Amino acid sequence: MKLNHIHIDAFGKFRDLRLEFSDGINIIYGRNEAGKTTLHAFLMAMFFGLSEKPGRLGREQSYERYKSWGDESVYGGELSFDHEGREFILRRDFMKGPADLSITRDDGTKVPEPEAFLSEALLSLTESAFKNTISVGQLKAAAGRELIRELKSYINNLSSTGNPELSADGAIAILDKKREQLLKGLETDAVKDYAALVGRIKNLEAELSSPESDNVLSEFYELKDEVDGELSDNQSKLTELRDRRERAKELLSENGFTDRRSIDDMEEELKAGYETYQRHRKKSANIFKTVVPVIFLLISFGLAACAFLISELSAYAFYGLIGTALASLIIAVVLVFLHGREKKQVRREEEELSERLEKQLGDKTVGDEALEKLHERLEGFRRLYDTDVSTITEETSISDKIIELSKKQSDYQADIYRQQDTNRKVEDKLILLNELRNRSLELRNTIAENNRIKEDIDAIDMAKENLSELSSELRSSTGAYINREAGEILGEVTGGTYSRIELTEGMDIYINKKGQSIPAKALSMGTIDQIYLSIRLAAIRLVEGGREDGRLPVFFDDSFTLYDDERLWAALSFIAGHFKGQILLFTCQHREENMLLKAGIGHNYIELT
Amino acid sequence: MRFIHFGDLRLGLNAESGRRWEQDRNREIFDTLKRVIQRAEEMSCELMLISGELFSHQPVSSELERVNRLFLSIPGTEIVIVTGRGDMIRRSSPIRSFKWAPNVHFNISEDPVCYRIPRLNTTVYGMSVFENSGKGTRELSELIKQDDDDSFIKIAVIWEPSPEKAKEALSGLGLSYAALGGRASHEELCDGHLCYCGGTEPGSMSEGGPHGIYSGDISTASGRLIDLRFEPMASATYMPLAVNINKTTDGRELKEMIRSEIEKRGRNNIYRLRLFGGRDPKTEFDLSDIEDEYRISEIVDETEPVYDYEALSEEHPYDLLGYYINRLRRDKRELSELERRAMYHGIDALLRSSDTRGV
Repeated sequence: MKLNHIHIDAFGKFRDLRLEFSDGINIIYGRNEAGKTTLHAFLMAMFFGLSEKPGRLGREQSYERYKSWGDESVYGGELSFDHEGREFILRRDFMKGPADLSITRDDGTKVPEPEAFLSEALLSLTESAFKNTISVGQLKAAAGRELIRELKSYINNLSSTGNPELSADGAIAILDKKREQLLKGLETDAVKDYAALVGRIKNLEAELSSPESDNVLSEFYELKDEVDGELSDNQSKLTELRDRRERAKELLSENGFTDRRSIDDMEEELKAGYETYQRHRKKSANIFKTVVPVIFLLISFGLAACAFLISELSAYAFYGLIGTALASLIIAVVLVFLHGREKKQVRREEEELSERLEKQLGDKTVGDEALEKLHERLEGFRRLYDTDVSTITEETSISDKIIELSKKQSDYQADIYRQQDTNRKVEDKLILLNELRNRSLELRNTIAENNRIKEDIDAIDMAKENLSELSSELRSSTGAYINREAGEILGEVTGGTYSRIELTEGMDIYINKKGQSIPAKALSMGTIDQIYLSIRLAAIRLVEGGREDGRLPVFFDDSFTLYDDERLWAALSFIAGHFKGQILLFTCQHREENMLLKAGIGHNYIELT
Repeated sequence: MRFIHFGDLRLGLNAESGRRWEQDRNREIFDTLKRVIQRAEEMSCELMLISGELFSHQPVSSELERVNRLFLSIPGTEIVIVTGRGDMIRRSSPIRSFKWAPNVHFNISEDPVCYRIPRLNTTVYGMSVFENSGKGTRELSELIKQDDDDSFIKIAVIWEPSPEKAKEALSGLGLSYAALGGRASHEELCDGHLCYCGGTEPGSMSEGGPHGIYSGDISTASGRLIDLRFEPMASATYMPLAVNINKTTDGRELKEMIRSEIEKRGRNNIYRLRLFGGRDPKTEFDLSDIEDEYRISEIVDETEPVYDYEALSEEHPYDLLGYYINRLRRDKRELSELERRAMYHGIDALLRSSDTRGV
């Protein structure tokens, strides 16, 4: 691309300004405030348009900044340039917008996609890339160390990325930071914890499945119920037996029996009593017992009567008769008395018998029948007594059974307690198991999140790897190219004083002065500026990619202000000798013009007033 | 005879573990059981079939007690319950010694059991999942074949996740209905004679769609299924929600989009948000307040920062950025996920590196 002329309709302080450019060196001179910066900005605005807002670091041309002063109806201009053998007119009317663009060919036809065409003509450089390469200003920093740092960064970026705007190290540092951030979010123990959790879950499940945990509570309950039933049956049986025995005992004792013998005794006694009574009764009922006293009485009465009736009785006979009569009477009385006693005895015996019978039978009648009844009754008592004895044996066996069952019952109860205890433990385990399962689910989420993070870290690693590989490739190709190229230029610019630029791993710059490496910080500011220039020139060659025909006009913007005459000459002659393309050299000094005139080097001179 | 069939309710699943709404959700699931019971009461349901995984795990006695109380409230409904894999019975299970309400017939054995309900002229054959028993549909089928009971209505209940096995074992046995469990969504096989009830409540994001119970009627005259309907019963649905984003979408706009979508579909549902499309590389979305407001279980950000790699590569033909893009896109083939991420990270870092120049 070669610039032919520009026409500024209105831009900043300029109105209706036309400037012609020639091949080779164009010196654009202007005192401070004459508008060099504005002109430079206009050219940039023609190439890249204006930006709406003031850009970062003020790099882009701001739309508002260069709006025409005074008349606000015009804003823009045109630029004529040659490209690939044809002339084009580029027009921008900023009134229509900051990016308005039209390009017309020399035959008057319009270029259909002017943006793409222009971008290609500008070697796809972005505005900032353009400024960082094609447009050579002064280093921004003023003082030594800052200057070196800026230079280093420029060289480093350029050689590691091929673009001074991009920093491979910076990018990698950003990636490292991101990576670190991601690592912080990584729960490194999640997998381990998960494995441990799964182990615990398995163990718990095994415990739950083991026979020791079996729940047979229902069976135990059944067994116990059975025993309980049996036990209560037996107990009630026992109670019944005991009651019955108690009742019999009471009955026996009520009837005055203490044991079987007492029953037999009673019967015998009664029987004997009855027999005696019978005998006595029979005896007392004997007729003689009544007749004999009567006879004696009659004898007595007869004798007495005889004694008194027969008067002629001797006294002896009389008294014999009376005496016999008296004796008979006495016998009769004695006999009656004895008989009465006997009867009384029988009555007493009968009464006694009847009383005892009444007690047993409720009937006073004494007789064989009653005795028969009594016997039956006593037989009953005897039986009662016999049952009592057999009941005791039964009771003992039931009691034994009860003891056995009770033992069984308490065994089952113990089993139930044990089982209940086991069940409680099982429940606790189940609750724990559930908790662990939930935790493991949560952990699984964490692990999934970890995996996502890891994937991102992998992506970052991949990015880093590719970036550093590429940048080291670039360093060894582009970097080497720049070093070589810049070294050559430096040699020429410095008249052979310095020959090579070396960049160490630690990004220190060394300059080779006749075989001796000198660190940049030991160099003067002027020399550093020269190195900078060399590198900038090398960078321009790099950007142009060796395409002679496509070369862009190179801008030098007060680049040599700090140079002394000797150095300026070296630089200028190098530029004039090596840069076949168009050069726009903005300056506020006459030195460049004078030197070129003195050396007879052809150039175009433009003065801004 | 009116019946209800449900299952895979998975009480105690705690599916939303760690979420803000975890406890609410657990309550909801239990409330769903209450609603089923209520429904049974409303329709004077005579038979309730629970085809496994009433619980998500082996229940402990307090949990059984809670459920039993509900069952006690519908004494007129005979309830036949079997277990599934989740609540599989072990020899140690507390359920083995639990005393159920008289209307509950819970098969706790490893063999199939038949429950005769003379009142309904019905026999229900139930088969539970029992640890290491290895028994299942085959044994159930055998029992039904061998049983010479003359009940009019015969019903089978089993948890069997394989529909093929279930069909093979249970069709052609003269059953009025087979209540099947073990699948996430409801499904009717063999003209509705074999039914998977699906989870009464969905348990995870993978279980979308409607969830509920089957209610039906079997003719006591013919023993035939005369009515069967699916009734949605779940209180929440898992829903994926995809939001398309473009370069101009900002945080506020995105939130509005999400908000209106969720309000439309129901606040109670649990959403998985998937953001896709290309976003402005400078935009970072902060959806924390949306997450606080709704049940959002996951946000999958598949948006790609729109760096126009094509344009960038043209802009930077001879520098690291251009080389980097070209290296990753070597053959112009589709980028893998990893490469896509690496591309983004690399370009992002490079473009931001210019800010650090000279620092």
